[in-house]
Amino acid sequence: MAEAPQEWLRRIQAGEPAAAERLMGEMFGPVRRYLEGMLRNPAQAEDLAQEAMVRLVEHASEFRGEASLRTYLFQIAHNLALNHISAAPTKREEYGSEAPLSKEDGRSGAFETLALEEERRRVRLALGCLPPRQRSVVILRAWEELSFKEIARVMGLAEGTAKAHYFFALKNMRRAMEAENGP
Amino acid sequence: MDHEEAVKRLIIGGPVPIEAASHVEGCVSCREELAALHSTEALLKRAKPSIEPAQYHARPALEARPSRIRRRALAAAAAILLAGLVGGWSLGRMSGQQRTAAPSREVALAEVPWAPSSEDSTLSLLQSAYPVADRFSSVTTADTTSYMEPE
Ligand SMILES: [Zn+2]
Repeated sequence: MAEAPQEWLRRIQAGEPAAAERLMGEMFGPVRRYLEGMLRNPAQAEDLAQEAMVRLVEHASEFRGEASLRTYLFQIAHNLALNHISAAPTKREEYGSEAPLSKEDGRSGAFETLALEEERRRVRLALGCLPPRQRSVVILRAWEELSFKEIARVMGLAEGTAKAHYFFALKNMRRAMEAENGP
Repeated sequence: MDHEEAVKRLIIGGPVPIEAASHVEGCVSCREELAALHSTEALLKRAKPSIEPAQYHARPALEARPSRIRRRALAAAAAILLAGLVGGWSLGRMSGQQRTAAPSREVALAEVPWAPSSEDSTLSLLQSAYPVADRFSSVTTADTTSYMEPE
């Protein structure tokens, strides 16, 4: 996104389909993946991702440009996810179910190994054991590759707190995976 | 520096204090813990779901299923339209009946034969009677914001 984000949002608000299409093309997938990681429910993730996109445009005037558009969008998505989780807490067993996350790519497909599938299942299970804020930090860091500074902004935390969440999330995930493997 | 703090400094990246690095170097349990956490981190990264391009190109969110915002916009537009039509109907009835007792709003609404009962009927009503409704077929937020209630 080379253009200034404000200009981009202005074009979308002015009803330029190409601008909206480009926003969707670049941002919808990552936001949907983040929400699916958070909620473990593809249909809800899809709905909330769409809601996040609409809100981005709706609240465009509040975007000051201190952060990237991507960070701002994840901030909206994060708040939607937390509201959703607090309204209807995700059951752990449901979160860790066999339901796959978004369809996998060429790394997988026909060449998907059973080992990789098993790894993904274990990660889903471990993510489901995390408190929502820890889950959010690890997904934003490991999957969306945000810096801790960006994560802190998304989540409204101090950078040091975001780092601590990440560290304890990894510890908790490791513990959950060990517990699953048994003694 | 305690064990946990030393490992944390190495996990979160960035500049590592010499104290943390030297502790971990000389501490077997910290080295094991660090290796285990690095392995968990690598596993997590490998499990990253990829994005299917068709997923978003096929379904632009701003015009896909009726969103809450779109419903809000439709409801607001329908209310304006309905109020206008009911008002007109009431006035017509009043003049036709030599201004007998005016019907209450509830009675008037109940007697309107085509009173919309669902969003779909509201939409078709809007499309037939309210030119702006046509714009919802290619809805963008720019189209809907002016009809939205504040959050
Ligand atoms: Zn140690």
